[in-house]
Amino acid sequence: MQPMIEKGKINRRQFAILTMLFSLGSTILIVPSALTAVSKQDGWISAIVGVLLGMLLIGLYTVLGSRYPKQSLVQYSETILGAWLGKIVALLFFSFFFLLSSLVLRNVGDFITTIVMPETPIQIVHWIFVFAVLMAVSLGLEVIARSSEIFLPWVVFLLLILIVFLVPQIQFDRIQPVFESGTKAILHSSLSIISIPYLELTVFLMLYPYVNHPEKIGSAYLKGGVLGGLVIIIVTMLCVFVLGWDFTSRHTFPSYTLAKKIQVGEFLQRIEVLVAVIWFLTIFFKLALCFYAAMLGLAQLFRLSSYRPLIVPCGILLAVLSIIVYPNIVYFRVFASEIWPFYSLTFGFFFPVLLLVVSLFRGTAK
Amino acid sequence: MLWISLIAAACVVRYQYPKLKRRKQLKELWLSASILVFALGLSVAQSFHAPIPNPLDWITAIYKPMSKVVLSALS
Repeated sequence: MQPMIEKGKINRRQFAILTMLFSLGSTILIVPSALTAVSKQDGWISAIVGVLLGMLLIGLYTVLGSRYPKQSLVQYSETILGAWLGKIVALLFFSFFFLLSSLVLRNVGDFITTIVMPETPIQIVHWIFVFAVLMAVSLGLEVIARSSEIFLPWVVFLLLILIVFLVPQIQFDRIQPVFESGTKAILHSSLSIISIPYLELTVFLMLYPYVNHPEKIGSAYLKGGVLGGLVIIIVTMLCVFVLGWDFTSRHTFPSYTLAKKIQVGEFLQRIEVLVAVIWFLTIFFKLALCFYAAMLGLAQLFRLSSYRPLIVPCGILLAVLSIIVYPNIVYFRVFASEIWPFYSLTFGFFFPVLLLVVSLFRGTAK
Repeated sequence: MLWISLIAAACVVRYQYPKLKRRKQLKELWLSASILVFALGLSVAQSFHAPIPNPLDWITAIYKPMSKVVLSALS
């Protein structure tokens, strides 16, 4: 038995909240534009298709995770595939989590420097965010989970404000004609929502052994995923209804532009920073969990007794990598729409299926 | 922003590493120190605008053929 690095325990409700916040972080701002880029005014149908396929993925992760309730993804890939091959797969998973953290961090930087604070160097924005994340990760999983419980009401409240105040702006003729783009385009667009939150949910397989009653996680996992998906569907619908698909697909951060449209009477307007607050809260949890999973995975890979000595060196690496990864915003848009779905498919679908099949054949569960 | 990296690294070396050494957690110390040296090297290279290879370029090179096939099938 490998040593338990993380001694904290979280309950199933906290797991569901973390799943929901994780699936909202970065998705809520970026995905509506990717959804409407190909399937145009049918982007909301793509969102629904994507969420349904995402549910199947969560089912796959639950089946895989419940076979090894006492081990994390990195640990049981060694158990299943043997020492050498297992270590290689585990290292690849670490690289996936780490790269994902750097991309998420870059999203924060791009958002702030293009929209909120254009004069501030992007490195400063990254470092400030990295410090918060390093603090959260060094405090451990329990602290991250409890703070998510504190922030959830705020996220829900701000989302409700956004949705309710946009209702008067809805113009129903914007989604017509429905199904104009056809099945292929709808499936093509749904790749973005499948890859941006759902294939990334493999991160939660690292947290499995630290949840109370891991055999009953499935429903919490699914609940978080469905709630997050529902919010994304609603935001995408509002984007199409209020902004129109062409405007949505041209913007990098359409839901921020969406909030600028809020105008109630003459006195309630320009509250778009609310969306930014929703986004900072959710993306903080996404980044903290990705980075946490990467650190835990690295420590388990090398059989260390604690992941804490790795946090600051990897934090510096994260800050450097987040600047290198996207030379410019066009690179980001091409990468996110053409390459990322397939890259995350390898880690979110191919490797879990491989692990599951090999584990069924070898029958080494428990 | 090299100075932030340097300050962070100095804090780790000053406050965390002596503790690890005292508790004889040498494997942790070695792994952490080698990542730190690597990260600082990259920081220095970045602050002097040296060309650093982008891992996303490698990923793009690997997945581009698959992406082309699938996306052209969907359009």
